[in-house]
Amino acid sequence: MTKPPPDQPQEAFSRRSFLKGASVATIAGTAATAAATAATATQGKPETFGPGTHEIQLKVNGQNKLVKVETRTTLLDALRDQMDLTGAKKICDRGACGGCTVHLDGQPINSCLTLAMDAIGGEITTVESLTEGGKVHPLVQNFVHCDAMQCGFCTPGMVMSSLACLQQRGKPTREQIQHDLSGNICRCGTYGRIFEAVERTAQGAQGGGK
Amino acid sequence: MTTPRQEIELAVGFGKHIEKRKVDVPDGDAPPWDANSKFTVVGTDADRVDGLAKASGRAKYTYDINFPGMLYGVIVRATIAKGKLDVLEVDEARKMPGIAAVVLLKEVGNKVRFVGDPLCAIAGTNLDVIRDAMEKVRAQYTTEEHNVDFLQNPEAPVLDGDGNLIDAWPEHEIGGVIAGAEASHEGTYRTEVQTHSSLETHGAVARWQGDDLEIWMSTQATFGVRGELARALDEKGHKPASVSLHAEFVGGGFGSKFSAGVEGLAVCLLAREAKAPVKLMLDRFEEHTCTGNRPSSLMQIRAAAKKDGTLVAWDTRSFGGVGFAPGGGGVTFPQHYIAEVQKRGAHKDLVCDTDPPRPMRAPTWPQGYFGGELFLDELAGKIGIDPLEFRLKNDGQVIRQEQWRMGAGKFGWLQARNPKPGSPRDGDDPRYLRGAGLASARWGGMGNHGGRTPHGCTCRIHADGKVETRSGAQDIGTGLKTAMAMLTAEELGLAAGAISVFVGHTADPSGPAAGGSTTTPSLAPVIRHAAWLARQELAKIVAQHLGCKPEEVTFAGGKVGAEAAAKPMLSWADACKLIGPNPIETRGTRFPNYKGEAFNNGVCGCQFAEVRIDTWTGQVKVLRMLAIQDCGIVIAKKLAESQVLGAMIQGISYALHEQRLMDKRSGRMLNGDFLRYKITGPADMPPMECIMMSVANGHTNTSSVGLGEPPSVAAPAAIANAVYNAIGVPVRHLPITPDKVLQALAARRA
Amino acid sequence: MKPFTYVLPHTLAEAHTAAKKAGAVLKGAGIDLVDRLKERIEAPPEVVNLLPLKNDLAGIADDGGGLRIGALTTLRQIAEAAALQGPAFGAVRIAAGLTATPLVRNRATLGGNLLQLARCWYLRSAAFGCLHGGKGPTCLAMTGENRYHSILGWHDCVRVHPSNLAPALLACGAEYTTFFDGKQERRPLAALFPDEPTAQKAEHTLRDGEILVAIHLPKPSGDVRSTYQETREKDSFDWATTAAAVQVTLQDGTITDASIVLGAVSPVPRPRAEAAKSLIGKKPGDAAFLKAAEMAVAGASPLSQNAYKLSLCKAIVRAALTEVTR
Repeated sequence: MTKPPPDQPQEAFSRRSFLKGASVATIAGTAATAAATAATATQGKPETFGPGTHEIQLKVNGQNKLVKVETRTTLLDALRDQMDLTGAKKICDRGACGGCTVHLDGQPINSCLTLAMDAIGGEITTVESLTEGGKVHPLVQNFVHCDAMQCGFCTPGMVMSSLACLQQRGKPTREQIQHDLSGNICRCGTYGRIFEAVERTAQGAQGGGK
Repeated sequence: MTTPRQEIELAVGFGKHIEKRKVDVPDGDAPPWDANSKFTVVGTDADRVDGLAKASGRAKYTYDINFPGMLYGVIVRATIAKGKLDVLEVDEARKMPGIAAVVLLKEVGNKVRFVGDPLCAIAGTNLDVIRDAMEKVRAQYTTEEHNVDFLQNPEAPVLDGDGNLIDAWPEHEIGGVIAGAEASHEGTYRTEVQTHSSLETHGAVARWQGDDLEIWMSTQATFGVRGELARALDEKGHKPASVSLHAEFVGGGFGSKFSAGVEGLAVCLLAREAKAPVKLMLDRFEEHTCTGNRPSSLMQIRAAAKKDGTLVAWDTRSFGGVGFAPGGGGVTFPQHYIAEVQKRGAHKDLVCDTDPPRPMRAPTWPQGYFGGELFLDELAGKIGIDPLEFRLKNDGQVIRQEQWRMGAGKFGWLQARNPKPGSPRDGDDPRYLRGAGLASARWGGMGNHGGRTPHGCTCRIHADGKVETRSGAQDIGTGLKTAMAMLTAEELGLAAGAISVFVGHTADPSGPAAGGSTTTPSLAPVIRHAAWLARQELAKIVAQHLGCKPEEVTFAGGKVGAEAAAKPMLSWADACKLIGPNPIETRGTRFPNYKGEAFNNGVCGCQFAEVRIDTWTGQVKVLRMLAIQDCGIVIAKKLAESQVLGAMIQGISYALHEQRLMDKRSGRMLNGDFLRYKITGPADMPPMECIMMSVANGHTNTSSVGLGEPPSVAAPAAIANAVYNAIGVPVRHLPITPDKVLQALAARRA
Repeated sequence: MKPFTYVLPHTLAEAHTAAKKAGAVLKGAGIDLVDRLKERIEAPPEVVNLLPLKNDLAGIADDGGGLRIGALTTLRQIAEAAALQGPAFGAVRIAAGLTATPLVRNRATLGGNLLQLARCWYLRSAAFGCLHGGKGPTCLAMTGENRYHSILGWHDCVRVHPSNLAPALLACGAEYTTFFDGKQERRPLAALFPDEPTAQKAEHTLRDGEILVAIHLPKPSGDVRSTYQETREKDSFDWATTAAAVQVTLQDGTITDASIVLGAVSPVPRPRAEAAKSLIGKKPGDAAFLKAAEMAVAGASPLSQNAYKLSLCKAIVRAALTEVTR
């Protein structure tokens, strides 16, 4: 039997206004323009894409990128195979393991269950963003310091779920961390050390230093 | 030829149990460490050297290797469990858009042995177009009756409604001993098939350049699979001029990745035919159903003891539920309790039409320890002796005797133990029952020198101060790279982070497969030896510069020099500047393990668990766990602890959740994914602690023993014993799912 | 996934027209759909994406008569919604928060959760052909592996309804609105599920092209409380083996109104009216709860491997009633 999830901060909710729906539609329109050869956009009729390959624009780690996809291409495959952003892993490919976790508009999601088309207009953040420009995010440092990994294959997904936990809760309790990471599986069994890495980050630690 | 040897006296043992032993050390080996050795790096909490690469997502595993123009590959597999392949037509698939190559993996007329037996492989521009093409492959079979339940094998024993084996025991004098003993007990225990579930699936990327083949493979045996592939390709008429294999990062293996497998061969053939690099990674269903497993088991145990708890007889018969061929289904019972008693054991593998087992983390042990340790607690209950007392009475291992006491104190064994099994603890909500259990661990893992191909390691010191340590063996997450850095740093007086480590490429010296907990104990002595030789080379150069003897040169704290010398100590960088354009390069030798009696021939360990059971819903929640574990002289402490903690978590998963569920009619796995195959997750995690015990054993220059397997032996048994203590009846069938707990509770009430 | 045309409508009417076409399917986040497409158990030529209509179809608002929850509202938004914080809607909040994983809940929608295909392992695999999937003569689970299947109210197919939110919303007296042929229609939530959930019936009663627009929750009056509990085999991501949503109204320490709805035990979410009625006029107490729990499983007929779910189901009803009246 399970307990209800620990209390969620209200602030996290208010941040997600429903304006996003509008931006999706608009920007999906923009993408149609970018992919004018593939899309048919007639006034008063739905826009359609595919089947077949077409180009879309995705905003990944703050940069707009043009990628060739089919309508059936997942965001995970687009990231890994088209952009060589292989931090997000394909492990279960069914939304059960969290290995493919990226942030979409600030929220961690399963990129394996997300069509690349559905990510148009969204802000996609991958684990690679945490070590860009020679800077290492404290969370990543603390994963290393706490040895929150063994084979390391689940680790990028764990980092991204942990990042969301920290961003949304600030100083999460152990129970909240366990709750927020419960969409991620680790086979080597590194959970406890991941919790410690998140806690250390919340306390302001940066790896072994302060 | 025999290496000249010298007899050296070493202090071996641990804590207060230190004794002097003479060992026979080959000439040329680095002076062996012992219990009195002082370390600055070894045994500390240095960070995992590839931690940043992994946590940043920038480490490139096989799955992450991409090349321009790279194609993808998929294996088409049989959909029946048993029969013969009559028709295999691939022409239509070959003509589908985006398809570049099709290779046949099974000939018409050959047997189909399980759902998933490979038929052919297809390469194309992406996985979706290949899956479109797969639907055009036409396979027809003559089917035969199949069986995927080992207990339905005609040779399986007969069980009663409660799962107890009821066939009479074969006649033997041990029967009389048990019948005449002061106390005796009998029980039947059972475990289900567990899949390795490595997160990176099996697979490889193959790239031919002419006849030279380069492969990236998710493997735990770089050298083994390279040879295997070269031979297999030769047989197929594609003998490569050279095979170079990479496994720099491996996303788990747990024993399932010793072979290149059909996927390894298929990807090489596809790449050959398509004239392009091909990546072929199995999907999750294939990983569950085609890459081995820990087989199921059925164990019947009967044993006898004196009233004071001394075991006098131990009789077992066991059955392993294996795949289409016998082998790999054995169970290992805890021998350290029964070394001196009269015993008998019989085992039989029962085949079914499924994927055969592969070694899985301590193959055969967690099953036998679950049965054996739970049986012992039941017998202890009959005699009326505390399970810990019972263990202390019968455990012949000196290290574990200490570990039991240490663990019991640390865990609060007596307080955690439910004095009235089946009743709530004072102050608890009566809906919940708590209990505590313990179990032992044991493993060998002393390492080896490699036999005909002795293990090697290269150490290089460059003029710019960079230090490399290189092995072609693989680090599957166990921490080999970090151990290499720490051992090298210890010899050179540097910090572990100053060492560059290279593993997993067959261009470097060979090492063992990552199996049997042998990698670290096999390689640690040669890694250290290579560094020790390099240090001597540098000492010679520095001595010349300083005008002292090489043996006077010290290496500590990043400084090199000699107190006796006129000139001041050099910084590491300055010392290395003396080296010149050619780096110092040394190749370590892995001498055979020393002759003479090592302090302990293997590792011990014990674990404690406390559980809480919801009597309404039958759900078992592990509340906390403790492990006491030794593994020789501990090299990378933080990583060693990680491995023990990980084994405990896997143990929870095996004890409570994991089982392969098969559809008997089709022979197909029903939960071949992570939606329904249940692995312990973050919300199920109890607080856990691990205490590492350092033991100098005097069998190599580093006294290392492997750690991968032993901690995975105890955890499921400790949890099962805790459940027994909580509810007062044993659940003798893993995993302990709510339905079984409810059934046990109902049986107790009845 | 097989190739498909991806349709982005600008309006509900456009979406409806597109979805009415033979073989077209509607999607919200696609959590369930992408899984079905990857398994290749379905290959729709057109996928009509409702996400561009989020403006109209997502969000929780008080519409005067009660709360309106848009069909594209995510499970996370429901779990955290300020408007659902009161005791009356605890069941809805908790059911949403226990569904799948945090990662899934960030995208999965209310509509998708209510309308998803059953999670039966025979149904969800292209390797099998079963009656409910329209590809075989029988229900394979009925005589096969059925430890997680129905124990109650099944006919020729023993799938269980997979939605956590359905029992919770039913217990709270929800209604739903759909869009069809230019009209919005509002009905009690029970009408969304087939009366006789045979193999031939879908998990829901929507017509081709009919779009679930919103769920409505009535304004509670008096001391109305609800909760949702489920049994499962582990706390991290798991499917419920049984679930119970209960809502009670208390007046002067006496139960004056009650509803009990079971999940994960039948091809549809199952209101247990008799069991609920047994509580009315009673003071909260274990004896009354045990009796209600017993009545909740009356008429159950478990399969070869799932009799244990009877005990679980009783336990979870008892636990939910204990919790909600605490």
